[in-house]
Amino acid sequence: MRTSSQRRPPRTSDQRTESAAVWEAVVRREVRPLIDALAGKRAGYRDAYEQLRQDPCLVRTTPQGPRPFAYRLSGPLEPKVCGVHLKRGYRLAFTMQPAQDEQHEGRVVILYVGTRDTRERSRDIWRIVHDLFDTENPAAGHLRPPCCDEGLPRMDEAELTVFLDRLRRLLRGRKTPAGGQR
Amino acid sequence: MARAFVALRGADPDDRDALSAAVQDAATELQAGLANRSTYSKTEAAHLLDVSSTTLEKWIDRGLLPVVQVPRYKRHRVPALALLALAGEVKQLRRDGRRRGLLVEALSRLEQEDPQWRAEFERLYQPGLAGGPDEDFLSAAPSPDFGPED
Repeated sequence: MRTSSQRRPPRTSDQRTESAAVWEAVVRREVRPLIDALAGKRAGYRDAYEQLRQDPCLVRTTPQGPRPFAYRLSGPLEPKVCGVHLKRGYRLAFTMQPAQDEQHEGRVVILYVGTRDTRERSRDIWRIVHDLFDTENPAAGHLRPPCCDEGLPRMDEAELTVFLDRLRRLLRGRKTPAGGQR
Repeated sequence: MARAFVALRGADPDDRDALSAAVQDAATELQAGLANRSTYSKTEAAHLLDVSSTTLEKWIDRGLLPVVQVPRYKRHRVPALALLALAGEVKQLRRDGRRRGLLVEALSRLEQEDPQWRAEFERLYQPGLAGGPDEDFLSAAPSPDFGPED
């Protein structure tokens, strides 16, 4: 058994920016239509996908201070889900799993892509994601800390299966999966 | 376990490397000895993991901790090998200051880092926590319909 002293030390933000590690960005079949629906929306998904593959834990240094590419959700989903701001009001929710092969550092599993819509709550990505987890979206206190600062988000396969079952039911009645804005 | 005792008693406390090696050997020896017991009660498991019985039941209900039915016991029991490996990992995580998601993190570390555990993990948990079949996952790459700004 590998001991704790043999484990790879946690990377700092600076090391993350220099890392050439490649992650595997995957999606379950049920979620793929949400991504396909972004074609033509100029949501910047392509760039986000590349960044997820290069380093989902990236923290950029900006004049305003450190700015994470992905942030950790607050509330009950904090141990499981990170979010990414895309363009034009779109957001992306993902979790992580251990690497399945030697070539990758880990696996990024995209859970949902949709719009942030605080006026039409039924179309708001975070409301939908919390509903899919059967939990409450906290009304306040969204601190958006860097995704990987307190360890990686994790979801077990059983939770993922339940999530996807609910998502399948949700999408069944929709004409366009990503919020009907095509 | 006697060998573990002798190794520890015989180690020179001033020689850090020797002491560290003796502790490692003793831990391996103890784990093998304890695993011979094959199962533990849920109460013992909760005690070893340093969690309440309610938390333990929750982990079991969620499929995070396997249980088995042993003929001479009325209640379900927790397999020793899985329990001891997890307990060690959970303790390590606590020492690192982690408070939440302990078991999931411990499981994923064991599954990821220990080849011996990987086989045990698959035996105990399939089709539970182990990553889903690869054919269920697709690449998240943008389709050819995506433009440069998409």
